[in-house]
Amino acid sequence: MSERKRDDEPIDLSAWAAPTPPRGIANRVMEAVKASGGAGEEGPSTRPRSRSASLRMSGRRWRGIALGLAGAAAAAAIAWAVWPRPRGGAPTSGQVVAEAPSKVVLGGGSVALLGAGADVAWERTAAGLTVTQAAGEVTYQHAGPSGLVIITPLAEVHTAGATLDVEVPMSSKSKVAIAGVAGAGLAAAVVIAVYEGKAEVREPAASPRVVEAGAQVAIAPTGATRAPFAPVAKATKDRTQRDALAAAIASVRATRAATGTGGGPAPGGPPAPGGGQVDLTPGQLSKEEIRTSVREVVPLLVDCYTLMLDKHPRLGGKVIARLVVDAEPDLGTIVTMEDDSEVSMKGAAADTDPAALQTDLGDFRQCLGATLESLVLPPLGDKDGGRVEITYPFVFAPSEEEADEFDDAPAPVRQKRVRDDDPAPAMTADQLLADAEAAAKTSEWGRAIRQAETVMKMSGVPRGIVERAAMIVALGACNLGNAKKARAVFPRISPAAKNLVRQRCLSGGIEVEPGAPPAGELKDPFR
Amino acid sequence: MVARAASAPRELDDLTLHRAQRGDHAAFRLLVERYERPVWELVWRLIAPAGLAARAEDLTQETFLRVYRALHGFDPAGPARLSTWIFTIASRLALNELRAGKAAARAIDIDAALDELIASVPAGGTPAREVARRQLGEALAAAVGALPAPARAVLVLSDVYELSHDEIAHALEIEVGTVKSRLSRARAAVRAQLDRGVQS
Repeated sequence: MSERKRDDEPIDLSAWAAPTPPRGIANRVMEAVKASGGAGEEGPSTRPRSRSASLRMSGRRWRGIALGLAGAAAAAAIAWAVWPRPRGGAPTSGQVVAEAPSKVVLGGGSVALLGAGADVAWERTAAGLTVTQAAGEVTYQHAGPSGLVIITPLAEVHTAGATLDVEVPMSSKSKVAIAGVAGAGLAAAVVIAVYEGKAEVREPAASPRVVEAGAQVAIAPTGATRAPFAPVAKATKDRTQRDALAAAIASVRATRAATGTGGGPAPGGPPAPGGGQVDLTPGQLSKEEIRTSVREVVPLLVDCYTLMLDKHPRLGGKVIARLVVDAEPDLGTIVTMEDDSEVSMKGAAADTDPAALQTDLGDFRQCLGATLESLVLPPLGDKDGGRVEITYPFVFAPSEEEADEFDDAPAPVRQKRVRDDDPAPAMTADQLLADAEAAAKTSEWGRAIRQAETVMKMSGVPRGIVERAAMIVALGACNLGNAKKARAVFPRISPAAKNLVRQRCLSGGIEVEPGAPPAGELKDPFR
Repeated sequence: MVARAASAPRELDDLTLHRAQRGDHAAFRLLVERYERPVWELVWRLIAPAGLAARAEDLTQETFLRVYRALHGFDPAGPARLSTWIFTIASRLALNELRAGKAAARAIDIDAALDELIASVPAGGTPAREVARRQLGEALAAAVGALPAPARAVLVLSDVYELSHDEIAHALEIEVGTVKSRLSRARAAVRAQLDRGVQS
């Protein structure tokens, strides 16, 4: 190969490994993001207190307290007069969950006053402005000229120019608790009051209604269904890829079984897709890896639950998902939710049709399954692939307060044949030591110490390896400020490395061997 | 020597991206978690050879803050993948850091010293394969680290993150022809240094 052609070939730089990133980057980024304010927010609210009070009163009126609209309309007019006009440059999209009353410039001639707990997302296109209001009280001032569409859980509101109030009650406190993660919930009713201009209210399976200034409408839940959420479509799309992967894995394993390679079937192993035998290689997924992957689909699980809450607003309970993770290193990983997964829900209304409830629960289960089966997990097992079973509990509740009620039997993430804190039993002392060194190099001192200590506890390990493991434990302990541990292992370090470890620990303020000469008098044996 | 490092990340799904673009903090967090490792590694690879490894974390965070501020303008249907777009931001930040004259080597921190220590102690029972790989890694680090920063950026973006010439040109704001020539020379320089190491 000529030199020039050779230089067109990429260089394999994989041996030049970068250290593991420090932990907590995402946390620190999110803290900075929150400190900088959410997209589209304009800082502290300029919303008049009197206006906020009138909005709350309009909510009570929906609950039966008589109150004329005139006062509220007058307050709205005052509020509009003191609001700054929308400025140019408002983001074309954004989402805000207001922790306190606040104002958001939506652009396109629209301003929104959010009550505490209001949850809105908006998107501005050439066709107009679309706002999705999931929760809370929001007053919109829309001057046009393009249209404004407000999507609520129960109806859409269309207007070309109006001042109106949209209230989606209860949702500000509605939460879905999923393995400790909270997501948005669903409103039970929607109230729309128009103060200026007019708006058209469109409900599923009903004729549009025009609401004039000074009038209001209340939309109660009717059980009408809405279009499936995007996650369902996504899961369906992922399913196609998943099925192709399952077929590929089955093919590889069938070939392996036919040729007798790959170590042969493990005793008791379940049949692989396509009839082959699965090698039951112990997996090496950690709980954190599983949790991280599950967290990615939590919003989709919340959407599954929200779809069901459309029909059964008080239904909640526990799902014990039994997942089987099947992996082939060169192909990928598929996740299957087993049929014996448990879905235990309660809280259905007394007049609920049992057959309909079963159907809805079946849909819910199917949605959960499709979502969980779209999980992408890290590589698993050794060169022959692996298979592990995971039991993952979820608690679904209409409100955070009710989560404990439904979570009557809290259960941690349980895995069968998934090791977590302990090193895989197949690892040799050499491998453990290499892992400990790799961890030490990237300042993962916890893992470094754990692996190195395991080496030190093993029997029949050559002295040189034990001494090196002891050195790693001592360095890690000094780095973590654990003088006791450092001193405990120090005697087991090789004489050649002791001086340097002593120096390193002293630089961290730890004297591993009281009475030793000062660090400055020590000579680095490796230089 | 054509196998690539598996550093090109799996892209974020469209739904989560859309939510993040709408300002959904939970979705943006997923985005950060998805790309934090490759971004950190990219930044580290670009600036660590100049003695700025300690700045990698700050630059990684700054990358994501800039991503957050500009995310609404990212077009998922456009020519750039999300990862490429993020790498562009990270690369420019890293090169700016190097250009800004902040390359004065900081004092070697304790972790770097420990790294050196662990590497210097005889390997004992460590498998020969691991030792060989470690030595190769050290040789590569030295060879790539010796490259001028702009050439190193081209090499890393191409051979680690598998960006195309056009994508690299856009990311580093240089001509495609410059990318090609720098990449060729960078590879030649690295190979030459590795060869010298083998001979010595």
